[in-house]
Amino acid sequence: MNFLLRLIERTFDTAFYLMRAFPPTLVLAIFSLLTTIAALLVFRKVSDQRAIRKAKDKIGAHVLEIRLFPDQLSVVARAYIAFLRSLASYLRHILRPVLILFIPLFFLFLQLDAYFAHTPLSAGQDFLVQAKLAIGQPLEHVAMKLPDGIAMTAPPVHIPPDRIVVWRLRADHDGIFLLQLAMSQKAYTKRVVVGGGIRRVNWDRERGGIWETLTSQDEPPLPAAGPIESIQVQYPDREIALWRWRVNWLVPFLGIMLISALLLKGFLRTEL
Amino acid sequence: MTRGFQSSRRENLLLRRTALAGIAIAIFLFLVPAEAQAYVGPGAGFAIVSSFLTFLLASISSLFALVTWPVRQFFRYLRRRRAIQRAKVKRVVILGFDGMDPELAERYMKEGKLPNLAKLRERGTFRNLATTIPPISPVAWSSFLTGVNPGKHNIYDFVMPDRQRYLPELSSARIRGPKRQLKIGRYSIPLGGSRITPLRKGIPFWHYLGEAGVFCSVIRVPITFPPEKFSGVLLSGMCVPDIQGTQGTFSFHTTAVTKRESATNRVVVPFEKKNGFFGSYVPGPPNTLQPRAAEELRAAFRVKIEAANGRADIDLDGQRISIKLGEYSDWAEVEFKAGLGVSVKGICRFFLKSVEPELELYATPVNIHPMRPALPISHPLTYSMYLAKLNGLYATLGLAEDTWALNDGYLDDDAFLEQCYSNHREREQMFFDALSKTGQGVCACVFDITDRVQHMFWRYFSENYFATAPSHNHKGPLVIEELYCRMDHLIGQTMEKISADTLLLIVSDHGFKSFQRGVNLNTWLHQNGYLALKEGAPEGDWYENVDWDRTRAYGLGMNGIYLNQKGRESKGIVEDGKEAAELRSELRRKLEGLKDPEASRVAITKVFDSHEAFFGPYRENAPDVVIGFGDGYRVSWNSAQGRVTDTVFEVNKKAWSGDHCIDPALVPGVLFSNWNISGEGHSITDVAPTLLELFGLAVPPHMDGKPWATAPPTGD
Repeated sequence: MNFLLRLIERTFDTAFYLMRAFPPTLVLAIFSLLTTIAALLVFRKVSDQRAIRKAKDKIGAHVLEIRLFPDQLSVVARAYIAFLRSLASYLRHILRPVLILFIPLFFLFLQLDAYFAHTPLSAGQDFLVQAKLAIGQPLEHVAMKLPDGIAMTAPPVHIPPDRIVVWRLRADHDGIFLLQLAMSQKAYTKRVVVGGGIRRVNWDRERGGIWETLTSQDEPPLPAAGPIESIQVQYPDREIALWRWRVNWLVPFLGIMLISALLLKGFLRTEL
Repeated sequence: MTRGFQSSRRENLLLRRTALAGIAIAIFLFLVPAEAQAYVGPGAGFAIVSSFLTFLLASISSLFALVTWPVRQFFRYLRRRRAIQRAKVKRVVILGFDGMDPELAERYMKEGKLPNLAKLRERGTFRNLATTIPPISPVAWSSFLTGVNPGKHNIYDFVMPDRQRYLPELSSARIRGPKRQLKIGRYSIPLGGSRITPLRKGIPFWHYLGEAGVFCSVIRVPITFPPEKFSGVLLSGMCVPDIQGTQGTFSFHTTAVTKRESATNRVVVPFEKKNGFFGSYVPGPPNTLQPRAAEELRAAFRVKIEAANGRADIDLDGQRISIKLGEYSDWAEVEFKAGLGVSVKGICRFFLKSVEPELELYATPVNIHPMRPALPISHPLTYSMYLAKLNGLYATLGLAEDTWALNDGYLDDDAFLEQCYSNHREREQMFFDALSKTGQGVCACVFDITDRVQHMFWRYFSENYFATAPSHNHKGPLVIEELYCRMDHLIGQTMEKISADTLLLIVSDHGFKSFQRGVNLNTWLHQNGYLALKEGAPEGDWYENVDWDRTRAYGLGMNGIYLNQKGRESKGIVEDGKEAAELRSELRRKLEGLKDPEASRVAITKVFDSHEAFFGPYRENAPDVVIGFGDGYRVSWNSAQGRVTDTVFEVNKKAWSGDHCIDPALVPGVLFSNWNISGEGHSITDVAPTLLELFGLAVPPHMDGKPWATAPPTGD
């Protein structure tokens, strides 16, 4: 599993490296377009296109039926029931391809989320790092070991009710830094990304099971029995400029997917 | 601050997980779209919400129908109150069987093969139904739907003469390109749609009924193209053109020829072998977007054959169509790309005739696509789409059964029959759907198969078999018997779905007789000095060698002789009035009773003078003389093509061996009903006024037909 995840991450890292000169919106558009094409091809391959077409035609027929014979209530009622039946049939036919597509798209979204959800930190600006300790662990026993280029700008703050320690830090240049939290004679690391455009950013390292393993970006989960539950870095949220608005990356990504699917489904002969 | 950060992070975590779940839902929704445009009209949404939108639309439409129903019913009542008060019937179902012959029906009923028709005869009505002059489907069905004689509906044949050029043109509709075009370089961009002018005059009965709030479903009744607006639904029938604008041009693809060959109603296209595939193309319409283009629009396809398995895989614009030897494909969509993103879509079916030693593939005429009609074929426009979505693609061509392909040997008997019954099944589905939608009102459907099959299989009734050699496994005369049995079964199914308060009418527009010998009217006119030929000019189609300056009359169409009248024909020489009347009378005198010396039979039993046969504002467009051929005769193939030959009489050697374009008295149609219809002299022209009267409407004075006296069946 880990190998597979790392492989996916490396693949995306390479792709993003190749597009490092492009603006984020363009990179997002390229990924959206490629995703659409791949999704359409897979959908066509794994679905019963004839059955989907038939179900869609039936849906269309019953909608038209309602409009063609509005004066006959019994016809309208029958048409509406038949419409619901056809809609259910349609949903049944697309369930399999949707479930199949869900798996790759889930990983795709995780990867894209790692690049587009947050921006890296900026050099010279303060940021917060927070560690949540396991129950019973004394807050004062945790210590932060800073790498070169990162400085602490305020003493750590302890919040005993929440078992949290917060540090205010600052990087003096761009780069990838490894913070070390020492506790019970063990060190726990957290990667910090400063500067550099679109880069993989993992704001949260947690201990946990499969979900955390899947969603962790290039950093394995913290040991389940360890004294630290999570280490989080406060990265700023990335917003994509969309004309006069600044929106989450999902908005343009899905928008481009929808439009390109509309335009390409005929060309790729995919019945959706 | 830290508490805020912690809280913010928790929210972020929650948000992140919610976002992932949202993404999953979004993916799901994205993959749930449907092509809304096709079924909710242009401009409708797509993709992520289309299923939801469709659901919403259907729900709103239903709700709207429900909420506004009382209001609409009120207004409908206001319109219908007269019809409701005086109506003698709740619903009328009309099954039209083109060419069903009363003699054959009688014979098969006697033999016990038509139990449902026999039941109608016993408990209701069975009579001959007088047809029109001439007894041709477009003429008779036009009288059926308008209740008037041809002098008032203007249809006298499938074709009428272009009096300027002495060429035939379609009598039912005139299709022309858009009025204005924008010329940019080699492109001619149409500014507007095609102009379709209906040439059939008169008002169909469903217009009167619609105005009175009586709903009508009209399926495939001939001469309803272009469809006209009324309160009901209609799918056009006979005379709907194919995508090329003709009445049906099939293509035949073969490795046996190296050059394309074209003729009326067919194009033979060679296959080119390349990389293990056989490439060819389906010919389409002229490229009106690029008028100077050397060739028509074409849809290329390639075929890979598996000779050992007797099958072929056709790749047509990305569609993979697999067919076995001797089988038809399903309907395939054919797209003709004109350029600039403009394309025309049609549908056709392939039939694999042979894979060895030659690859031979037949393609039906490209029908107008019912979901994306290049020309309107239904009212409302969405009705053809609705039927296609409900039951699948279907033949839209007026004369969809390819009699020419059998006539010329490109299809054999079995392949032709399979095509006929396949089309018939589509129409049965349409009819039963229309019947279920017409709880009150009129449901009328015309089935063509009876006409086409009798035309092509009548030869098996003849002991002196003369027509095309039959295929190895033909059923001979049983084909027509089976046809009547199938129609009887359809009638039985219909009777099961109706109650006694529904009037069922089974009507045909004419009967059938054998067509053994053809009469070349143009040759007769030439031999008798009415039609002159240019000196030394070779024989040719469409009056190519006729000297119009010395010609007084010419034959055109199935029964017509036209005078070359001054002021009407471009090179007319016969004066209107007395001279024309004398000529008509002279022709009538000479032609009536014309004997075929070889067969010692009367070839022409009746001749009609248009001034006696027709009355109404369009009589001027009628043939001046209408020929009523005797049993066994019809106008010859050469005469119908405007060709003058050496002999007046010729043997008909084609599979097209039954006909009805003869003396109308010899080919009446049938009238069956579950009700009692009394009186005498029932005519197809009477149907429209009868329907109006049944629904309590006054019969318009211009109608020539007379309402029948009808009464529901008594007892069981």
